[in-house]
Amino acid sequence: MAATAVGPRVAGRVRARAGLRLTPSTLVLYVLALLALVVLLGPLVWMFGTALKEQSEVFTWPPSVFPKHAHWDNFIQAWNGAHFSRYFINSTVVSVVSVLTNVFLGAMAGYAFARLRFPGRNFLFLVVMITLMVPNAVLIIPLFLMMKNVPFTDPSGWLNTYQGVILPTAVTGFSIFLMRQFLQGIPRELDQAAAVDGANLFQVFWHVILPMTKPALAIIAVFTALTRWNDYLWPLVAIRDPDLYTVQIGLKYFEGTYHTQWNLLMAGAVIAAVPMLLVYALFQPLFEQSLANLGTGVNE
Amino acid sequence: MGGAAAIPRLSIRRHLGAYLFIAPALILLVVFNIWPALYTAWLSLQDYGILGSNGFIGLANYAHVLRDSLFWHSLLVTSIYTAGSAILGLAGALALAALVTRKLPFMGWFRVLYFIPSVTSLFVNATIFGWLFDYNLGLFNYWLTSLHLQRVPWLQDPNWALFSVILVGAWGGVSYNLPIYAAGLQSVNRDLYEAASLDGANGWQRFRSITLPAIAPITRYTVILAIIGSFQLIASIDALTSGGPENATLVTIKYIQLQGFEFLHFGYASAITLFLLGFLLVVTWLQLRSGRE
Amino acid sequence: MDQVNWSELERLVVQGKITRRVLLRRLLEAGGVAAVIGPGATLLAACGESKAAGPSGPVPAGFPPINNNILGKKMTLTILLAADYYNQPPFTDLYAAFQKAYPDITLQITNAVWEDIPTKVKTAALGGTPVDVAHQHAFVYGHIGVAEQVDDLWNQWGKVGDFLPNSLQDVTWAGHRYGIPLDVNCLFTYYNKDLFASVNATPPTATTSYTDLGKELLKFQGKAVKAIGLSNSAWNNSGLARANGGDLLKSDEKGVQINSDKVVAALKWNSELGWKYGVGTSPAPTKRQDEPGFLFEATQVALLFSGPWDMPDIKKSGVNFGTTELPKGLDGSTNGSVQGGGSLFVGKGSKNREAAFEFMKWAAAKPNQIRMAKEMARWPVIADLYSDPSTIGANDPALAPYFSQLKAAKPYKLEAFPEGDKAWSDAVASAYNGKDAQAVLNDAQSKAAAAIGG
Repeated sequence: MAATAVGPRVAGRVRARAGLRLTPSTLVLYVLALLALVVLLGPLVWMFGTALKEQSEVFTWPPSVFPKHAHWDNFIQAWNGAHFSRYFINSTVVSVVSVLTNVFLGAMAGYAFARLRFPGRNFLFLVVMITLMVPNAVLIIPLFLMMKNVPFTDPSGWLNTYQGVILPTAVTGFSIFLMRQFLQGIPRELDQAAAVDGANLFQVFWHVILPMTKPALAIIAVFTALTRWNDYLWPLVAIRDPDLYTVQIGLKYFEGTYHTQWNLLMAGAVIAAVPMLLVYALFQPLFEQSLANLGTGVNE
Repeated sequence: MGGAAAIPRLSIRRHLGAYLFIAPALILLVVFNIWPALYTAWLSLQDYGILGSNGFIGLANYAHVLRDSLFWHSLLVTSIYTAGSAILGLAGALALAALVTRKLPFMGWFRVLYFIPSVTSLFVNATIFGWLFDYNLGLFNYWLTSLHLQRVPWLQDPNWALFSVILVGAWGGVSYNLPIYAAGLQSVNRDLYEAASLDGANGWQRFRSITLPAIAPITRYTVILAIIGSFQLIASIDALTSGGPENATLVTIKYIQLQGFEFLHFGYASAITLFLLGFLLVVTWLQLRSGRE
Repeated sequence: MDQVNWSELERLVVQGKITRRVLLRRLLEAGGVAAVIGPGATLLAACGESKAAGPSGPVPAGFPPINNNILGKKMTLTILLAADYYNQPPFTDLYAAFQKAYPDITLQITNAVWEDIPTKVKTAALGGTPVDVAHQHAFVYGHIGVAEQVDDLWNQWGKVGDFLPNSLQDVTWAGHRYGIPLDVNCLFTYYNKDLFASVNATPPTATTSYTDLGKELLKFQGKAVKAIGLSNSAWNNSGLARANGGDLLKSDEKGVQINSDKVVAALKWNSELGWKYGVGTSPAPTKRQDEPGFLFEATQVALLFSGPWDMPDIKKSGVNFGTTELPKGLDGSTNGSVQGGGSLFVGKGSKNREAAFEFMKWAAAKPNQIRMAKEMARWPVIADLYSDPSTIGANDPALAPYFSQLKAAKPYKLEAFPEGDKAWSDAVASAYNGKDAQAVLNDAQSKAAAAIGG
C-alpha cells in the first residue's frame, strides 16, 4: 500500500473512516468547526439574549449578552403586539404556495433548459437570467400599478389579496437556474438510461429527474421559503388590510416613532425565525443525499 | 434496453413538450418581471414625478446619469462590496463545506447549525450587527477596550463602514452558500478520490484536479448569484448605515431608491436602474463565458 | 302627492328605519303610482341600499357636532396611522364613537411603522388609490402635491384659534393648510445633576447660552464619563440650529439657507464638542438615534438634548436628573427648538374629503387629546389644554421646561425638500466626523439650492 507515500491528510482521513480517533488533524478540524460556529451563531445568540432582557438592560455599559433575569414573557408580549397569530398564517400561505410553484414550475423549466434542445433555448434562458438581475425593489411601482389594474376585479384589483402578494415571485429565475446547473453536473446518460422505452417527457421528468435531483429541489424549496418568509417591501406596498400583513411587517411594529423596543423586536425576530428553522430541519437531510451511486461516469 | 437511440432529436413533438415545460414559468417571469422592467424603461424616457408624467424627454435622463458623479461612485461602492463579500463569502462557504462534509462525528450537527444565520431575515441580522458594531455601546468595541485597544468607528468612518458592511455580507454569504457547496461536494464520486490518492496525489492536488472541476457548475451558479444578490442588496445597508457615512456605502440600488422614493424623480431613477441592469448583464455574461472555457 | 311627507320619509330611509315594502305602501297610499315612479323611485332605491345601519348615535361630549353633509352617506374611509398609535385605547374608542355617530361610514383602519408611511402614501398616490386619512407631517405632502388642500373646510370649521400656533405649522405650506395637527413635542435639555456636581460644573438653566454651557462641559475633559450624548440626526440638529436663531429655510419657504451664519455657528459648536474637545460621545447612526438616551440612562453622559419620549425610561433608570430648555443660542439672546409630533392629512384625490376631515377633527378634539396625553404621552395641539397641566396629567415639574420650550419650537420644514434634507443630513454627519462646519454647509447649500432652484 502506498500509505507511506501519502501525506498526513490522507492518513487522517483513512483513520477517520474507521471511527473517531483524536489525531492532531481531527482535533484541528474540530477547533476550526467550533470557531466557525462562534462566528456564525454568535450574533444570533446575542439576539436571543437581548430578547430576554428588560428594556433598560438592553444597552448598558459594559454590554452584556445575557440578562440577569430572563424575561420569558417578552416572547408573549412580542407575539401579541405583533399580531403573530394572524400574520403567521398569512406568511405561511404565501411561502407554501411560492415554494410549490417554484419547485415544480422551476424544476420543469430547469430540466427543459438543461436537457432538451429546442429552437430559442439560449435566448429564452438569457431572458430567465435577465429576470434574475432585475432588482425587485425597483419594480415595486409597475407591479403595484399592474396589480391594481387587473381587469374584471374590484377597484383595487389584486392588491390586498394573497395572489397579489404571491404572483410576482411565484417563479424566480433562481429556481430555474439552480435546477439547470445541478442537472449539468449529472451525466446525461443516466436519465436516458433510466427512461423506459417510449416514456413521454413528463414521465421521464416525474419518475426519473425529480427523484434524482432531490437535493436541488430541497435547496429550491428551502431558499424560496426563506426569501418569501423574509420578504418585506412588496408585502408592505401590496397589502393595505392589516389582516393580511405578513410576519416581517408585524415585526417592525416595535420600531416606534421615537423609540424602538429592542428587546421585543429581538423576541419577535426569534419567534419569526422558528418556522424557517423547522423548514430547514425538515429539508436538510435531503441536501445530504449524496449521489455516490453514479457509477464511473465522468461528470460533464 | 437503452432508450438513447429510440428518441428522435428533432421531432416537433419533442419541441412542443419542451415549450410546454418552460411555458408556465416563462409566462410568469415575463408578466411579472420583464413587463415591469419594460415599463421601467418606458418611465426612464420621461420626466416622471409623483403626480405623473411631465412629458417625454427622450434620453435626457441617461445623459444626466452619465454626468452624475454620485452614480459612478455608487457603482464603485457596489463593485467593491460585491467583490469583497462574494470572495470572502464563497471561499468561506467552500472551506466550511469541505470541513463539514468529512465523515466525522457531529459534523452533521455543525452543518445544520451553520445555516441558521440564513434563516433570520437580512434586516434582523444587519440590525444585530449594527448594535455589535456600535461605537459607544457595542460588543466589539467593548472587547477592544478590554484589551486596551482603541475603539474602532466601524460604521462611522467611511472606510471602516464599507469594510463592516462587506463583513456582514460575507458572514451571511458563508452561511447561505454552505448547503449548496456541501451538496456539490458530496455529489463528487468518492472513487475518484481513492484512485487519485492511490496514484500519489496529496490533498491539495486532489482538490485542484477533482473537486474544483466537479463543482464548477455549482461554483458558476453561486458566483453569479452572489454577484446578482450583492447588486440588489439594500436591506442590510438600510439597517446598518442608510448609505452613509458620507455616501461611503451608497450602493447603486440604494441610490435608485433615494432618487425614486425620496426625491421623487421616478424617470431618473428608472434610467439609473437600466444602467445598473446593463452593468450587471455585462458582468454576468463575462462570468458565464469564462466558465465555458 | 301632497300627502306624501317627503322629509319624514327621507329621514326614515337615511336612518334605515323603514323597509322597502313599508315605504312602497306608504308612497302608494299617499301619492299613488305617480309618487312611486317619480320622486319616490330614488327613495325606494336608497332604501334597499342602506343595511339598517341604525340610528346615528349621540356624539360624546367634547367632540364636534354631527356634520349633516356626511351623515347618512355610505362610504368607507381608509385611515393609515402609525403603528404605535392606531391600536391604543384612545384611538380604538375614537373609532367606535365615530362609527356610532356616523353608522353609514365604515372605517378601514390600517397601520404602518412611521418611517414606512411615506412609502405607502406615495405608492398609493402613484397608483391612484389615495388613502383618505394619513398620519405624517402634512406640510411635506402638501408641498409634493399628494395632500388635499383643506383651507375651505378649516374656514367652515372656524377653530384655527384653538390650536397651538406652531402646531399649525405642521400642516401649513406656502400659505395653505393641508391637514389637522395631531400631536406635538420638541427638543429640550436633560442633565444629570450628580455628574455635573462631580466635576464642579454648573448645570444649564433656562437662560444659559451655548457659550456658557460649553465652558461647563469642558470640565468633563479627560473624565471617563462624557459630558454630552451627541446626535447627528438632521432633525435634532435643526432644533439646535433654531436654538441659535438659525433657520434652514428662507422665510418665504421657497428657498434654503443651510449655510446661514447662525446655522453654521450652532453646528460648529455642537459637533466640535465631540471631535475637537473630546467631551461628547460619538454620534450613533440613523437607526439608533435612541442611543444618547440609553447612554444618559446608563450615566455615561451628563447631558442630553432630547424630547419627552425619553422621560419615562430616564425616570425608571433612577438618574438624578433635571430638565431645562435648550440653550439660548451662542449669546443667550435667541430661543428656539424643533417641533416634532405629527398631523393627519387627506390624500389627494380622496373621494371622501369632508368625511376624512371630520374624522381628523375628532382626533384633534379635546377628549381625545387629553387621553392621548394621559395614556400615550403624546402631547396636545389644543392651546388651552396647557393652561392647567393637570388636565393632561402633566403635573410633573420636570415637564415644565418642555412645555415652555414648546412655545418657541417650529417643525423641521426642510423635510419638504428631500434633496435639501439629504444635503443637510450629510453635512451634519460630516461635521460630527470632524469636517469644518462652514465648509460642509456651504457644500450642502449649493447642492440643495441647485436641486430646489433657489
